Amino acid sequence: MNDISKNVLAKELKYFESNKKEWLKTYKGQFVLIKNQKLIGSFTSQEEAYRKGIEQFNNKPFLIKQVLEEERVASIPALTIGIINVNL
Amino acid sequence: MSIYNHLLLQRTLKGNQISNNVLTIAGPVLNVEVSIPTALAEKLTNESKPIPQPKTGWALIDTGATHSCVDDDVISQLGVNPIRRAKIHGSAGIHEVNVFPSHLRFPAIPNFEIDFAATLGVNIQAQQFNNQPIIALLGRDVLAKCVFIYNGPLGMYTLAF
Repeated sequence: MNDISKNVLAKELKYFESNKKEWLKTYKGQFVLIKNQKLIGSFTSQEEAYRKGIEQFNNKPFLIKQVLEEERVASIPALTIGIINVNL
Repeated sequence: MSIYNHLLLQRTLKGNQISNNVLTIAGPVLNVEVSIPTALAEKLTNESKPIPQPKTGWALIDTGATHSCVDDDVISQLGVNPIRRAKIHGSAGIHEVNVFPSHLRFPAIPNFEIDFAATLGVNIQAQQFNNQPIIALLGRDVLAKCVFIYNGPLGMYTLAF
């Protein structure tokens, strides 16, 4: 079983960040597939990138990330304040 | 366009009755099956490896959530690897969680499947409804493809897609 909270993509993320500025010129809005600190390709959808990743690396961790200037922060208020609680 | 109406009935001594109580307390929930993405299932099939059985539970439609989530234990049991990290607002500020590809199927709604959903792995399974765990939150990324009507007085919601 996976260690769910572990960041198994730390190296790939570091590689992404170090190249992001350059990639914004050519891949802005696209999804890049990265494995072992190597850019495998860019794709118009994350589904395409995932298919390629699975085809090439099986079910091993690989990074798929959209090339954007600013990363969006997810907001899940129900989790933040713990209001999901059902007992009927 | 397909339309799905879900009436959440109140159990009483006189049988099930229309009431706004259940929807108010439980929220708009529907049965969900969480499984591995099709691309991974095809790969495993080609390699004659077993495909993990889908995990079943409830999904809660959460209009407050920007992104859909799947319980991290559920996704872990399916053996799916994360594809990236996402920043999320938490009670202690912004923190990071893993993002997992998943396949979501809703048995009560024919033809409504999400083959590839990039879902945030979070701990939600402690929550229960009718003795089944809530294992997914459907956020506005899914609702972006649907019409969602919350009928409070009738205790019913409608999902059209």
